[in-house]
Amino acid sequence: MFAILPFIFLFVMIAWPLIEVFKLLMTDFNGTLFQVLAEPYYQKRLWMSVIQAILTVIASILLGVPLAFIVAYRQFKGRDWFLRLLMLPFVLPSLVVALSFLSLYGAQGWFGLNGQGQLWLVILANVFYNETIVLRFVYNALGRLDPNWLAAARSLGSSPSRVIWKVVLPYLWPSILASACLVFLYSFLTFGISLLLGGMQFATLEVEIYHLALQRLELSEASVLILLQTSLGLAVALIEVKWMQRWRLPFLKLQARQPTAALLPWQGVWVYLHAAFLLLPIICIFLQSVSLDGQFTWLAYQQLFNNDTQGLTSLWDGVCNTLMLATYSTMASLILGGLQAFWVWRTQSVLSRICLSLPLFVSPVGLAVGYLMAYPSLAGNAYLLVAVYVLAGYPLLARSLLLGLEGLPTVYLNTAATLGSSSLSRVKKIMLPLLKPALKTGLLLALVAALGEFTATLVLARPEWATLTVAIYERLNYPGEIIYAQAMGLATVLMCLTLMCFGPLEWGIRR
Amino acid sequence: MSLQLDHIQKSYGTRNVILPLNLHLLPGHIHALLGPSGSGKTTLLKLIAGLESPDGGEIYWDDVPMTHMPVHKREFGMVFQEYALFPHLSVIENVAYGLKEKGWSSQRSKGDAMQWLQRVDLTFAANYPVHLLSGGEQQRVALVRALAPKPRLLLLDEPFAHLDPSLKRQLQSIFYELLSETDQTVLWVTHDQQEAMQTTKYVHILLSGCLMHSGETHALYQQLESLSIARFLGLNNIVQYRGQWVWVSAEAFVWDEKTDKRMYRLIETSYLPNGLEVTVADLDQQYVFLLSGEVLRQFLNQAWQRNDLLPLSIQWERAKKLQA
Repeated sequence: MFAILPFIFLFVMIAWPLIEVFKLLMTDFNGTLFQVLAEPYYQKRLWMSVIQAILTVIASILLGVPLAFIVAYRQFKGRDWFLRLLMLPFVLPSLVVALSFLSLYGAQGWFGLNGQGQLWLVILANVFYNETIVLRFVYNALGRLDPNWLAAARSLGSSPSRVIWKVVLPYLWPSILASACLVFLYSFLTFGISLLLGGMQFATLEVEIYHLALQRLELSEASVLILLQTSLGLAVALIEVKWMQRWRLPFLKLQARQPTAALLPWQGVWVYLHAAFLLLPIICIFLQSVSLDGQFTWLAYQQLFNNDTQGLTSLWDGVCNTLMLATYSTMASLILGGLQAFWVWRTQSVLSRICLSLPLFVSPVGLAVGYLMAYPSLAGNAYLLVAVYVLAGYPLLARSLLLGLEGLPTVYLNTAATLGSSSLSRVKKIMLPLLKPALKTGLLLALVAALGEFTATLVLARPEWATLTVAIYERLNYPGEIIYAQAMGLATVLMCLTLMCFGPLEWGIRR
Repeated sequence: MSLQLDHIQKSYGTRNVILPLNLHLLPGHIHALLGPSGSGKTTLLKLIAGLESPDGGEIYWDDVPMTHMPVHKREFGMVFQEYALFPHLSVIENVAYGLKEKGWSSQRSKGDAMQWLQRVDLTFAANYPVHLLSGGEQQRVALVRALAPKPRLLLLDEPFAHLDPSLKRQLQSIFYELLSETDQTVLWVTHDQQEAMQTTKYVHILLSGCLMHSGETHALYQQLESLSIARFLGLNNIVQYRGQWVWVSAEAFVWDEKTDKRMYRLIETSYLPNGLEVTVADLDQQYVFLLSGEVLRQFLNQAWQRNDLLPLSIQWERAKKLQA
């Protein structure tokens, strides 16, 4: 019963458009397929996508896991703000991040490193986006680990490092592996970052699909690459499902604890270096919004607030459209994500888990092509736009809710049943209140995904629905330093909007 | 107003947890379901509560089939080992929960819940969040929460498993008082014989998924139908014996180890069929400390070798003197 709506949604939004794309391939399956696969140029694109995704995964784990330990077990000033800061990269459009990274690490950047066209800069930007996924997964798992296990291991003679290796890590594997798979999928499908920071030599398969399908209109070749990318994504998702089933261990505690121990000096350095790494691009964006000809000025903001926008999307329209689309899509994500999470929780089947990951490993550009082919009359339709937003947000909400459901002791539900609660009453009075933290985290992730949505809006939205991200993109394609400052100002407003949304949701999480 | 289980059985995969069993609970009494860990007690309780579905058999309440009735409609209350107080509700809200589910108004439910809290001296904690309560206090809340909606049958799943002995005794008497006052039919799962003997009227013994004994608690030691029950009850003067004559101080049981069934009840000097291999336990509590397995074995072996009861009697007298 829970599966019907998510299943229909996934069929309409993913399966059918992809079938339309793959139909192109069927006319000359063997010829086109082997021709494209044998092409060294495409092989290099595939290789590049895999290499940068793997390097991003390794870097994100190496940086994110120790940081998760520190944040989970150490108390320091600004800890809550640090956790909020980690969510900000999610909402920033890749164009803005790429430009701020170039300002910092580019040829004339603050650090004079000249990283443009270098692989390390592409990886660094990918880590900026994805490290927080590793940190959030591991941090949540650590918060729910029973401290008595650690105490028991210490009392049996284990050193702190042995405790981590022998007791903590076995429990963290599912979280680390799940986050590694997510980071791999996100980096594998990256589009803007690799193109802008690495140039064509580091362009991914996704960039190539974009060129083939939307610029050169060679749809049958593009469909081979879409098939290749989807198959690889499916393989990674299957590995994740298998690992999760194999490694899943019960957590005893429901809610995260607030740590009391103070930071050690090296941990302080680690935290503050991270904060600097995350803050610098953000500060850079803000500084670019308040400087004109090397002078400090609020002119860009004055123009934005006075609606002096020279025919471009205004600040207020951008904010209103962003909030409206984010609200609708988050509400829809709540229903769909809730049903999907229940479906996986009740059945624990491989199919349900694959469906949960499906929106994450299918090429967005491939889907955009599929929509244009499957539903040509729906381009510029509000429902399709909201549905694409939901597609970006609801898997995150479902995953968060699923973690909550899997950690929910069934004894509470059994007790309520013996006290006379019907199934509906148990869900309403016991399950939902206990799932509130997981639900709010999921809502936050879905909201953030909606606030930062860019590609689909650009392709599918009418000009009057332009969101903040579209307004930023318009300005980046427009000449003039003041317009560029306005773009950075809008990016700053988008970040502030995100932080404002965190407030009520985080209050609920901590409660 | 009674519960009847008719050939109820349950297995998980290839493991038979509950073998087909019949059980009848007389109303208005406290029944103990006694058995070692892993004997299937909690599974049987869950089958009765409706939290698990049986593979076969029927459950009746007053001859009305309940097997396929949803949990919340059975009106069987349950107290779990881990208390399971809802962490998002206050103490009084926990107690009022079942009353609200019966359709009572919030005010009426809370009024009644307060009276229940008064009976277990917890009115001071009515508005506390549950995590502020001690283990014993949480257990008292769990009991009155289950009693408040006046269930037809109350199922208790090792309610004192996590408590220290003095608190356990204190709570046992509170539980006993409350349950007796309300004439509640109770099925109390425990592996603690002392707890069962002190607080319950009837005892049912479950060993490896098999119901081995059902009867009044005070008669348990007089019946002892099987050797497994004797072993579970911890009779430590059980010995293997092969012979014709056996001397016992007052009373003993003889079981056939192969069938696990009781064969004879021996009083003083008794004659056993020639060559029979049996297991003997002396039940006279006065001599239990003397009749450790090894001592009795020696006595019986000597009697066998000499084929004569007289030396055994002398030895026995000597042993008593030595002990004195």
